[in-house]
Parts: sequence; structure tokens; C-alpha cells
Amino acid sequence: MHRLAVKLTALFLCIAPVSFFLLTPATGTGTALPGTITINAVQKKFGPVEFDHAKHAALAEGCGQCHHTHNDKMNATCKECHAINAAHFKRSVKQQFLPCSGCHAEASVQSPELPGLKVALHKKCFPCHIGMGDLGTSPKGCTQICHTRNKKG
Amino acid sequence: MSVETPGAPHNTRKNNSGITRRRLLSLSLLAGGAALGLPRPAAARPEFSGWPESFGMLVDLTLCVGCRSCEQACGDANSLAKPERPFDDHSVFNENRWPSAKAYTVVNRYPNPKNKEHPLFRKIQCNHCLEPACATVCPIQAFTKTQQGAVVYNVDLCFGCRYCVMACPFNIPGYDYESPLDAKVVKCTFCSSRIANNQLPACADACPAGALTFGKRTDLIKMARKRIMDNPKNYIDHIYGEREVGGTSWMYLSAVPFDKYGLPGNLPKKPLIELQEGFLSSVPVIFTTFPAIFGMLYAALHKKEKKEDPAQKAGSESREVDHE
Amino acid sequence: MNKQADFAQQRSIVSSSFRERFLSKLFMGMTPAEYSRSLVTPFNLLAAAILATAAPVFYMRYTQGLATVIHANHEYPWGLLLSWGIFAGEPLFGAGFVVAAAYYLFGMKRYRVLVRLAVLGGMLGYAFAASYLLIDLGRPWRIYYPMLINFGPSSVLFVVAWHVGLYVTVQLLEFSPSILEWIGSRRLHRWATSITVALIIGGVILSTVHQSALGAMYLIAPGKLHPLWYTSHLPLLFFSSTIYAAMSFALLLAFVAVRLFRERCDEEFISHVRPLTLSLGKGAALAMYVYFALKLLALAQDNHWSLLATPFGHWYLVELLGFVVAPMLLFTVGVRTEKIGLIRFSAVYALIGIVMNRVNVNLIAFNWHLPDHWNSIIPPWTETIMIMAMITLHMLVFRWILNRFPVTQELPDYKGTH
Repeated sequence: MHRLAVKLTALFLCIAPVSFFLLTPATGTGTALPGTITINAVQKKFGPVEFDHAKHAALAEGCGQCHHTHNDKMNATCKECHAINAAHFKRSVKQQFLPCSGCHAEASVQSPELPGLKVALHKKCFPCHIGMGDLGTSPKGCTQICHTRNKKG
Repeated sequence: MSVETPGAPHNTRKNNSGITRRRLLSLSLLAGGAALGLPRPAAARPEFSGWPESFGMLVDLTLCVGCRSCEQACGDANSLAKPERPFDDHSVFNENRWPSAKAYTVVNRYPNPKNKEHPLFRKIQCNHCLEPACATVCPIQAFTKTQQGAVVYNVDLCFGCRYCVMACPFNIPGYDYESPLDAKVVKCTFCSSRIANNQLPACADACPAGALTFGKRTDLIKMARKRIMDNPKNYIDHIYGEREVGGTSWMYLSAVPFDKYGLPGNLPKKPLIELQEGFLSSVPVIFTTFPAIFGMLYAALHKKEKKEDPAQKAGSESREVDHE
Repeated sequence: MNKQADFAQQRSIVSSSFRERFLSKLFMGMTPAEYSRSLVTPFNLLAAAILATAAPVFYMRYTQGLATVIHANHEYPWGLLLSWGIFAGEPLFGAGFVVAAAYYLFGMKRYRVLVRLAVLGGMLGYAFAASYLLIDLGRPWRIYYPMLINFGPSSVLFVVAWHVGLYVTVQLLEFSPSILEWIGSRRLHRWATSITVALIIGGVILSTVHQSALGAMYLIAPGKLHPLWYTSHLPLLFFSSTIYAAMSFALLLAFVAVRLFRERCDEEFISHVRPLTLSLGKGAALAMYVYFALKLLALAQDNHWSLLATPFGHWYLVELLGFVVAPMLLFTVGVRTEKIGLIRFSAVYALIGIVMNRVNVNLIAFNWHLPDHWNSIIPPWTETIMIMAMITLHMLVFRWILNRFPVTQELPDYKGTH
């Protein structure tokens, strides 16, 4: 029992500085936006996706179009985010952007309101991309702009 | 009385408190005359509105983009052979396809009355009714509604009458007519073995668009209501499957009337089993009253006949009992 | 007693060997060579041609699967094969229970001569209905499953299966005196006749339930069957139409017997055909009035009058006016004027109406709203030839039995025992 407590304390001491660094506001004045992001979290049928963040940031009407921010239009009340899953939502998104995967992981039966990472990402792409190429009319649309098939696909 | 169905760990029998209507009806039938004691059999049985913790699927038809990922995942999960046309072939949308032995689910395209540029898509599979007509009509009880929500089929009991196909309000069970020896009903299993392992059904796991949400049916209904309330312009105010034929585990949200997706709009809100209950309840009544009525009739006529002509002989036309 | 039977009897006295006696009964007293020669008739040649054409189709069905011979799919699981073989057939084969009930239960003595023929017609009909099922079931070798392997008592089809199964047994027992007389077992014969009344009451119950159950089967599909045909009264409609179908079929059976099997009919049978036809015609007419009233009641209760103006409404009117009201009136005229020919014509007409009603419920008005409906319900030629083959076999077996068993005559030794 005593040993376990020591181990946990040691673990906490190792993780704390790292997580503090991660949680530091990334959009403080002077912080650069990421240029291109490689999304490789979910790879079943398709290979990694090179996402041109800079281009999309320029096109978007603001960060809130894709990211959760306070007082955004995606969620009406605090409770909607903060009550879904206590572990994920003890953190605040005030003046910072967490990676999507911080909250959106595998879809879970317990909280159907919280989409899995794959759905969370696609939900941000589809509103604009439907109608570009064949997306929304044919499965071919998947591989025209974003995806390339891997061996399993 | 029933054989434990593989893949159905919680057979209906195991539940002591919530006796299903089908079970009760069976009892009343087998009890025969005892059923007469019930003044109104239909009113005497308890209401059954689905297993409380059962799972369901909410299909938000407004989100489906027709990528056919669900079809591919379903084929993989059920070890079905790869189709002739690959899964990214959109020529399949020119036909009205239907689930079969080769594919337990298919995505069909429908014209969008609001916007011709953006067609509508619907994934078609078993809706896993709360009180399934297929299970009601099967004379060998080859179908089981599990407590998790799946309607599973046991091929070892089926003799291939296809009454389930005839009875299904959604035309879902396909019959594998091709095979002379292994002919069987084929339909979506709701991935009951994956669900048992705390996994999502393969299609829900594969859907990128968020059109398929798997969860407790009660949670899904709340979620669906909220979506309609938050975005009343985007949805018609109807959760298809919440009440249709007594409720289905799979439910749908849409921006256009559901018949635009080929979902039948003329279904009663009550479980279909209720339509046959009256008839089935009358069977024991016939069995108990008819022998009495006809026995008495026979006795009365026979007595009269004896009185009239004790030495009655065949062929005497004049002493007919029927007055014609 | 006709010549052949006389001859047979003489032979059976002369020869004491069982084998010879049996063969003489089998070949109706002729030698095998004489018998084979007697088989060459135009009807038999036609029958042989139909059966020969159908044989490879049956072979295909059992080796290559159902899909090669019928057009069933997820929307149309049942085709004409079942519509004809089961749904249209069974009301006719109610003849057995209707006539038996008239004689044994209602004490209508003049029906005695017709009981055996009607029971034969019914029994054979049910046996053939089961055979249609053996063609259509996906796994016919499991046909006994609802009886022995697992029970689905919430199913109307379970009710049908059990009642038809039991009823075939009851009918076999009802008919067994004929068979036992043919074999010549007196003790069994006495036993078989002693349980007759119980059997008849059982038969009436089983028939009432399963004939109405055939209608109740369709209650599960309110979304699929056209509202003009779908009514909560379907079981009652099916049962009440069974009564006049059975009576029509019984009077036509008597007609066939005296016309085509006159040498097998004894004097008593022949002399009874006319009064029986009149009586059955009267009963059928009455039953049709009841049925017509119930049809109107169902229509009024669901308030579907407006649907009569649609194309399916017109078709409904064709069925109701053209094939219920018209034969009903013809029956009435026939009975009033005692025109036997007209009664027989009305019976055929009414039976066409019955077949039409069942085919409407099963095929034409079922899935009526589907886009490719009309193409889907036309049976392929393979299904049609199987039906023709089954009808042919049915007639051949009927003839075979009527030619041998004492159905339309009373053997002198057994007079007054039933």
C-alpha cells in the first residue's frame, strides 16, 4: 500500500510538468499556428491525411468554426460539454486549443452524445466539403481530395 | 420448450419479472380451456415495451453521405465474400438494392425533394423491432429478441416457410433461395457477438459521418429529441421507429418525410402481434365450447331419432331429420 | 355391382393366395397386361406429357435450389404455388368436414351416401396441400419441426400446422372404414366406426380453426395488404367462404362421380345425387348471402367506400359483384327452379370466385403499392408447370382410389355399419 502510494506520487511528478506544458495556452500572442498537420489517429482503410491547417485557418470565419471555444455556437450550455464525461471536461478550453483527440477517442456506448474521433473530425470537414468532387454523391468522393486507400481499403 | 439460441445469452426465458407477450400468449394457448377463465385475454397480459437496458441505433439520415463504409465493415465483420463491384463503386446507387445473403446491409440512394444536387441515402438493414413480427409468426420460434436488443435467428430451427419474410413490415429478412440444402433466412444480426464484447456494431464503428449512433435506446431517444429541438429547421418532428410497430431498436431522424426514403409510412403504432391476439385467444374458446355444443346437438338429434324409429334402417328417405 | 367388381370377387373366391388377391384388387380384377392396355387414353397421355415436362423442374428444385424454379424474394416470399396449393385449395377441401358434420352432427340422413366421397376429397386435398408445402419449404425435410422440435404457439402458422396435421390424421381415420373394407379387416373396421362421432366433432373444430387461421395469417401485414382486403374480419371471412366453397366442391365431386365413375356408384348413390345437389346448392347459396353480408360489414366498418373508386377498388368490385353476388344469385335461381345444371354451373363459378379471392389476398392485393408489383406476381413457367403437375397427380390419385375403394357404394357385407 505504502509502495503504491510512492509509485503514484513519482508518476504524478513525472507527468505534471509535461501536461502543464501541453495545457499552456497555445494561442497566446505571438504563438504560430500549425502549418500542415498529419492526421494519422484512425487508419483502417485509408492512409494518413495531410491537413493544411494554414489554408483552412485562412478560409475559416474564425477558430470557432472548427474548434470548441467558449461561447461558440456548437454547444449552447456549459453543461453540454462539461457533463458528458467528467474526466475529459475538468480541463477548460478557455483561450486554448486542445487536440481533438484529447476528448474525442473511441466512440463509447456510455456517452453516445460524444462522437468518436473519426466522426468528430469528419463532422468538421463535411459541412463544407460535401458537393466538392463526388463527396455526398459517391463513395469515390473519399479519395478525391483527402484520403488515399491503404492495403486494407 | 425453446432451445437456447446461440448468440443470445439472455434468452427471453431467463427474465422472471418481464414475461413477454409472446410467452404469455403461448401459455394461454397451451392452457387451452384455462384461458377461458380470463374475461378479456388481451387486457389481462402485461404491457411489454422492450427490455429497459436494451441497445439501439440512431440513424441521422441528414448526415449520411453515401460512402458505403458501413457496407464494407458489415461484410468484413460477417466474413461475407467481396462483392463483384467494389465498395467505392457508385453505380450500385442506380439500382434499388436490398439486403441479401451476400450483403446484410446496403446503402440506397433516393432523390432529394428539397435539393436535387444532394441526393438522400439510407442504409437498409433489420430494424430490430421491440416486438418483432418475424418472431411472432415463426411457428418454430427460430427468432429471439435478446435483452441487448438484437433480433437473432437460429438456422438450426428454421424449416423455411418464410412467414417471417411475409410478416416483416420492413421487408427485411432475405431468404437464401439459391441453395438447395442450406437455404436460410439472412439478415442483420446487430453484431450481437460484438455487442456482447463491448464493441460497437461494425457499421456504427465504420461510419465517418456520425449518421449512426449506437447506445442505450432510451439515451438515443433523448438525444434524438434534443437534435430536433436544437435544430427544428433541419429535422421533421418525428423519430421514426420510436413508436412504429410498437417501437424498433433502430430509429431514424430525417429532414424530409420518411417515405421519401422508402420507409413505410402506413404502419400502425401498436405491435403487430396485437393484430393476431384476438384470433389466437379465440382458439381455446373454440376448443372448449365446440365439443359441448356439437356433443349436445348430436345427443339431442340422436335421441329424437331413436324415439321416432327404434328399428331405423338405412335408405329410408322419408324420415329425414333435416327439414328442407 | 358392376362387372369388374363381380369378376374381382369371383377371382378372390377362386384364388386363396394373398398375393393374387392383392394383385387382383390392385389391377381392378384385370391381368397386368389388360390393365396396362386400359391405361392408354387421351387423358392419360396428356397427364403423362405434363408430368414428363414437370419432372426436370422438380429435379431442379431439389438439386439446384428454389431460386431456379420460383421468383420468390424478400418482398414476395410466396408465389402462386402456395396461393393455389394451400390458400385456394383448403377451402375446397373443407368438403369433408362440412358433409360429415351435416350427416353425423346435424343428422341430415340423406348425406350418408356422400360422406365417404367428401371425406376422400378432403383428405386427398389436404395431403396435396402438404405436398405443395414440401415443394415450397426451404428445408422440406424439417416439415415436422413445429410439431416435435420447437413450438412457436404465438404464431398463427403454428396453429395452422398443428390443425392441418391433426386434421389429416382425423380424416384418414374418418376414411379408414373404406380402406379397412377394401383390406377386409372386420375388427379394425368396427373399432374405426365406433369413434366416428368423436372424430367428426374433432374435425369440425380443427377445420374451423385452421380455415380461419389462414385468413388470420394476413392480419400481421396491415402495411402490405391493400386496405380493401385487409380487415380484422379476415378470419371470419375466410371461414364463412370456406362453407360455400366446401359445399360447391362436394356437389361437384358427386357430379364427377356419377358422370365419370358411374360403374363405381351403387344405385343408392346415383339416386341421391339430385336431391343432394339441390340441398348443397341451397346451403351454398345461404352461406354466400352470409359471406356477402360480412364482406359489406367489413367494408362499412373500416369505412373504405372511397377506395372503391380507385383501380384496386374496381378490381375489388369485380371480385365481389362478379364472383360472389353473381354466383350467389345463380345458385338462388338454380335452387328455386330446381335446375341441377345451373346449380353445378354456379358451383364452378363460385369456386372460381374463391380462388380469385385467395389469389387477391395472397398475390394481387399484397404489396400492391410496390413499384414493380405486376412483374413480381407473374409466376415463371417453371412454377406454373409444377402446379399443373400437382393438379394432374391429384386427379390421378383420386381416380386410382375411386376405382378401387368402396367410396360411392356400399359393400354388401358392410351394409348398415356406418
